[in-house]
Amino acid sequence: MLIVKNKNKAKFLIVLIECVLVALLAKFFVSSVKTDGIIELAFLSFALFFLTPFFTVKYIFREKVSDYFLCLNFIKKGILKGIFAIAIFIAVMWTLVVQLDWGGYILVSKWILGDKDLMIFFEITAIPIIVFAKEFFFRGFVLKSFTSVTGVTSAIVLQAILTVLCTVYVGVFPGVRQIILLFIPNLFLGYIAYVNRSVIISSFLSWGYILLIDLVFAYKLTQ
Amino acid sequence: MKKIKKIKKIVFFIALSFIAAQGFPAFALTPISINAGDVDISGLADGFAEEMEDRYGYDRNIIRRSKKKSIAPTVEIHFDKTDPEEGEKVTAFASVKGFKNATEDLYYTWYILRTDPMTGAPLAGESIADAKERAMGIIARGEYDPELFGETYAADTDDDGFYASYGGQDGVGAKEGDGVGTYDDDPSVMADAAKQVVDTGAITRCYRHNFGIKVYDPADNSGTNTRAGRDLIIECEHEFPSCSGHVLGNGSFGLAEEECWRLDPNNSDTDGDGIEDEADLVGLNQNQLTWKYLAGDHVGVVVEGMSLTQIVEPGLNAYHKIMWAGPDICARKDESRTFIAGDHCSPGEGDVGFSYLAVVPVNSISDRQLDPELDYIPKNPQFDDTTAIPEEQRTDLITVSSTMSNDNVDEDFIFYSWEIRKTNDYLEPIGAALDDTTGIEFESFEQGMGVKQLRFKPMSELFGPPVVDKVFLHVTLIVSEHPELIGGSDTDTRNFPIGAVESIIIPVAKKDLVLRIFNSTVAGGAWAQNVEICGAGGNPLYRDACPVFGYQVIAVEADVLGGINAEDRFAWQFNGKSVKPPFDLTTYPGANNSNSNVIFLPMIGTGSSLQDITVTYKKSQGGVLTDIIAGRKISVNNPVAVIEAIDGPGGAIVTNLGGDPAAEAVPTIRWDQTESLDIYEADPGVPVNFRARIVPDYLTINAAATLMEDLGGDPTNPADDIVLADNEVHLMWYLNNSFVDADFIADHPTMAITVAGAGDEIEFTTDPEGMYGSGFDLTARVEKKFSPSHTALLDDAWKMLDTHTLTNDKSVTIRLHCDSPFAFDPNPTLREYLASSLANAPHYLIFSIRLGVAMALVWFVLFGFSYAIQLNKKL
Repeated sequence: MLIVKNKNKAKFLIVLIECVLVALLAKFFVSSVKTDGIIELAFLSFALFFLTPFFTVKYIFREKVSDYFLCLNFIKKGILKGIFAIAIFIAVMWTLVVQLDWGGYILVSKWILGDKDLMIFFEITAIPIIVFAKEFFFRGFVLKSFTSVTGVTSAIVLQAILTVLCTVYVGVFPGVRQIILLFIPNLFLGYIAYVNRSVIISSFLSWGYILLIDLVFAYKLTQ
Repeated sequence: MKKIKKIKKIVFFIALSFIAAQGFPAFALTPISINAGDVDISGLADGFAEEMEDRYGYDRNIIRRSKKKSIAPTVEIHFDKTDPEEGEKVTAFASVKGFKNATEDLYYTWYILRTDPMTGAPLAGESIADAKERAMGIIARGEYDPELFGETYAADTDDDGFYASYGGQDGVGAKEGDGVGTYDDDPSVMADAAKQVVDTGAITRCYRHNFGIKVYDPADNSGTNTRAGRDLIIECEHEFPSCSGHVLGNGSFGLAEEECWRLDPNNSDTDGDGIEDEADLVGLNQNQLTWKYLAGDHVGVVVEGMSLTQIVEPGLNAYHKIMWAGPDICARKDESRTFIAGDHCSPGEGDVGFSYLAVVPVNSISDRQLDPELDYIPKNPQFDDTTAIPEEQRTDLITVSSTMSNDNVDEDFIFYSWEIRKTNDYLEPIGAALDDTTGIEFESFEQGMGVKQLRFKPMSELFGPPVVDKVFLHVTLIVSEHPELIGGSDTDTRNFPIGAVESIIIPVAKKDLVLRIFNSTVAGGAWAQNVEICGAGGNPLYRDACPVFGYQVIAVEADVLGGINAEDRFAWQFNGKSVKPPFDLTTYPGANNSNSNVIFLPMIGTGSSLQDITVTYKKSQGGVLTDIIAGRKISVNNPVAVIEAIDGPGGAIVTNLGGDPAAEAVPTIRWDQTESLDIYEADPGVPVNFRARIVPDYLTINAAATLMEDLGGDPTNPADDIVLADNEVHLMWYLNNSFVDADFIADHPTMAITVAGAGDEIEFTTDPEGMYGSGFDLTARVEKKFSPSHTALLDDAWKMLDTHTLTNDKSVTIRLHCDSPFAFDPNPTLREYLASSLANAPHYLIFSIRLGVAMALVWFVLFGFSYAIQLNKKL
C-alpha cells in the first residue's frame, strides 16, 4: 500500500492529479460542444472547476470548503495589499499595452463582434459563472493546497502557471506575448486572493477585468 | 641518363677489380719506368686513369662528381583543418626533405599573409616581412599578452639571446665570397674543376638550387634548361623576421626587442615550449605554426639548413651546402599567382626555377573548383510528328540535370546559366541560342541560383526549314559562385578561378513510329482490336501512363509513318523481356507476334508500378535495316470510381475554394488550404448530390446492372448477373455500408434517395437532426466482370485460369456542419439566441448528464487515490 505520511504532500499530489484530469476532461468536452456553445462552457466550468474541487475538499480532504478561500473576508491589511497589487498590475499592464503596444495580443471574448445585447447577456450570466468556478479552482483549491507544501510565493506562481497551461491546453495555443498577458493577471489575482483569503474578491476582480477588456474592445470596434 | 651513369660506374668497378687481379705485369705494356726511385705515383695514377678513359671511356672524377647528385631541400605545408571557421585555431605543419640537419636544428621562418578572401590577392600594404613578423611573433609569444599581465617593459631580466649560425643550429657558418651570382660548377669558381674542389675565395657556402622552370617558355627555353639542377652561389642572409629593424639571431635580445616583439622580458621562454625567445623567433625547431584563422589567410614557411650536397674547399674536409627551402618553385609563366614584395620570385627571369617564399591558402581553392557533370532523361527523346495533337504534347519533356563532383560545394548557392543551341549534324557550327520562338519551350528557369535542372520541350521549329528528321541539341551549362561570367571556363568578371563550363549533346529525332493501345474484344474465337484507348485526343494524362486493369487484353499497334515495308521487322518487349507468343496461335491474329506490328497482351497484377511496352522496329531503308525504338508505359490497377460532389442532378463539380453555395456538400478545406478528396461538409437537412467518375475513363457504366433496384435482383446472386461488354463495369452505391437498393430507399424515405443518370449520380438529404460532425459514409463500388468468352479465351491463349471479378471501393465522408445559432447566423440577436437555446434544451440536458458522469469518474479516481495513500488514516 502506497502511503504518503505527510498529509499536505498527499493533498498536493491529489490536487495535481485533479488538475490533469480536469484539464483533460475540459479539453474533451470543449472539443465536442457545438461551436460557440457558451452555455455548455458555463456548465462545464461550474462542474469541473467548482463542483469537482468542492467534493474533493469536502469528502476526500474532509475539510471545510470555506478554508479554501470560499468566503468573503474583509481584512484591512489584505485590502490595502490588494489595492497596492492592483496599482502595480495597472502599471504593468499599462507598460505592456500602451508602451509596448501589446494591446492586440490580449485575449478577448469572441462575442464582442456580435450583437451588443447578447454580449451584455453573456457578460452578466455565463462569464460570472465561468470566472467564479475557475477562481475557486485555481485561486482557492490549488493555491491553498500548494501553500502548505511549496510556500506562499511559489504557490502563487505555480497556480498562475497552471492556469495558463490549462487555458492554453484547452483553448487554442496562443503566442508568447499572449501567454505573458495571460500569466500576469493570474499572478496578481492569486496574490490578492491569498492576502484576502477570498476567492470572492478575486472573482469580482477577474470578472471586472474581463468585462472591462471586452467593453473596451467592443467600443473600439464600433469606432 | 642517371641509370646509364650508374651502369657505367658498376662496369668501371668490375673492370678495375679484373685488372687488379691480373697484377702489375699488365702495366708492363705501358712505356713507363719501373725503377723504384723514379716511380712517379701520380703519373702512374694518371696513366692508369687515362688508360681507363681510353680503353673504357670513363671519367677519372666520376666518383667525385657523382657525390653531388642528391636531392635539394624542399618543404611542404599541411594543415590540420582544410575548411576552418574564422577565429578557429589552425595548425600548419612543415614537412621537409633533403636537409642534412636534424629537424630540431633547422630554422623555420613562418609567415601569415593576409589576403582578400574572395580573390586571394594580398591586402594593401601586405608584404612577406609583415607576414613573417606576424607569424613568428605568434610562435614566440604563444598565449602571452603583455597588457593582460601588466607588463611595462621596465627591465629585461631574462637571458634569452640566441646566436643563429648559418645552416641551422649545427650549421657550418657563412663567409664572404666573390663568386656570388655564379653557378658552383662554373670553372671560374673552381679551384680544381676536375676534382670538384671549389675556390675558397669565390664561394659563400650559401646556395640556391635551380629546380628548372616549371612552365615551358619557348622564348626562354635554351637559357633556363642549362641552369636546371645546378646550385647558384648566393650571399648568406637569414630569412628571419625583423621588428622595427632589430636583427635576430645575433645572440643579443634586449629590452627593446622584447617590447617590440611583445614578449615577457622576465621569462626567457615566453611561450613555454622549451626554446628561448630569440631562438623561437628565428624558428629553431618550429616545424609547426598554430594561429587563429582569419578568412583569406595564406601561410608559408622558409626553412634554413644544410643540404645533403657536399662541397670541398682546398685543405678542408667536405661539408654541406647551406640552403633555404620554400614551399614552391618560382615560375615566370605561372599567371595564377600574385607577386608579393620580398617573396624572392620577382617578375623578371632571375628567380625563375628557384624555390621562393610562396604562400598556401588554408582552404584550398582547388577543393572548391566547380566541376559539374550533366545527364539527361529520357535517353531517346522524340518529337511526335505522326499524329494531329497539340504542339506541347508532341514531344518528350527533356530534363537535364547537373551534379557537382566535389562534395564541399553547396549547389544551392551556385549560379547556373543554361543555354541550348542546335546543329543538324555533329560537325556543323553551333548556331545561336534557342528560345521559345526558335524551337525550345522552357519548362524551368534558364538561369539563377541553384537552378540545377533544366527542363524543356523541343518544338516543331527545330526541324526546319530546311526540314530535317533529327537535330542535335547542345546544352551548355555555365556555373559560378556569382552570376556575371566572362572569360571562359576558369574566370568570371572578378577573375575568380571557380567558374566552369560543361555541355552535353542530346539528339532529338522526329518520331515516325507511334505505339497505339487498343482495348481488345473476342471475335470469332480470337482476339480482335476494339476501340483505341489512351490515344491522341483522349485524356492527356493517359498518354504518359495508360491505365489498364487486370485480365484486360490490350492490343498494341506499331503505327509507322509512311507505311511498313515487306522487309521491316518488329521485336516486342514487355518490361524488358521479349514477348512470347500465345500457347494457342489460333487465338491470335497474325499468328506470329514476334514479327508483327500488332501484339495482344494480357494484363496481370494490380497496384503495380509503371510497366513498359517497347518495340524495336527494324526499318528497311535502301537495303539497310535501321533500328527505331518506341515505347509506352502502362499502369495496371482495378477500375475505380472517383466520387465528386456536384451542384444538383447533372450539375457541375462543386468546389469549396471556388465559393460554391454553402447548401451543397463541399470538400473540406485542409490545413494546407487544399480541398479534401475524401471529406465533404454539408448542412443538416439539405439535399446533396454526388457523381462517380470511372477510372479508366474509357470504361462505361452498365446502367441496367448498376440500378439493381430496377432489376429486382440480388447483386451477389450470380443468377442475376448480366454479361458486361469488355468496356463496361458495374457501379453500386453504399450509404454507411448499406447497399442502396430499392429496399434501402424505401426504408429511408426522409433521405429522399435517388440514383440517376447512368447510375453514376446519387442524391440524398442529410439528417436534419444530425449532430455537428456526424454524417454519412458514401461508397461507390466498381465491379469489373468478364464475359465467359473473354475468360475462356484467356485460358486458351495464355493458360490464365484464375480470372475473377475485380472489385474496388472508393468512399467519401459527408460531415454535418454545426447547427448552433452562430453557425446558422454568425450574428444572432439576444432573442434569437435565447430561442435557439430553448430549442436545444434537450441537448444541454444530455450534455449535463455526460458531464455529471465524467465528474463522477474524476471524483472516484481521486477518491481511490486518496484511499490508496491512506490520506485520512495517517494524520
